[in-house]
Amino acid sequence: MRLLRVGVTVAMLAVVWGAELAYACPACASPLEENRQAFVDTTVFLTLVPLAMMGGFVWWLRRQTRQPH
Amino acid sequence: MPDDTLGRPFGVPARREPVLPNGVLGMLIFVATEVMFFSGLISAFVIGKSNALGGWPPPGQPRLPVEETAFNTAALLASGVALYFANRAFKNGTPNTKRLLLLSIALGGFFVLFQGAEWVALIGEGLTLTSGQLGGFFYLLVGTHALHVVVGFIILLYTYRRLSRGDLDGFAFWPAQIFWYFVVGVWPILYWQVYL
Repeated sequence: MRLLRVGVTVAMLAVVWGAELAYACPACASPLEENRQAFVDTTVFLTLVPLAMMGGFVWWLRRQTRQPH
Repeated sequence: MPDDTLGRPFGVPARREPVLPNGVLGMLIFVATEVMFFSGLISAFVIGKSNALGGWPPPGQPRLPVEETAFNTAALLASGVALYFANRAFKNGTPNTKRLLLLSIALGGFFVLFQGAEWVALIGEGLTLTSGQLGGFFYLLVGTHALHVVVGFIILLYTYRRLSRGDLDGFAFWPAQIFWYFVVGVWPILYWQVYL
């Protein structure tokens, strides 16, 4: 169990350090300001869309269940 | 057996009505995944466009038919409006339903045919899937949408067939409408991003 915990910690740290070295995302290393901005905008967009859909559905469901028949 | 305040025997659970029919819920979940799919495609396009060093559209590439497609966009939006009124007529039980649904289908069919003609012209001008970044993104985004329009068109035809036979109910009509509204709703975003 202890070995497993140490292994997971080492793997996580390796991912964190490795990602910095790899520059896996081409937008992160782009010198173009417009490209960096587009990357930020689309990240925000892709984060908010599922939250808005799920939030909207839960809100609608709550409203429906609270309405008297 | 003693009864509760509503007159039901104790121990017998009350029958619960579903808030949404299964078909509608299934279609909503499917459309939610489609929204994420198109969001991913549009995001990739926005990043690709911003990364183009020579500006956008890339020089030396054919010009996309902005005005003609604006007309086609209006036809698709009109198809969505016709479907909305078809649903209203269906709910009220008026005989207009068939005519309005047929109008919606015809406008959807017109959109597909018009886009097909546009593609033939663009391919003739040298814009292909492999001609460059513009062609690759154009056929990927617009082609994926066109595929959805064709599927929606077939669903609407099936709906019309059931309506003609007199066995169409709201449980079958609503999912078809949700899908078509999605197809109609996503197109202006694609038009704005790809053509303008």
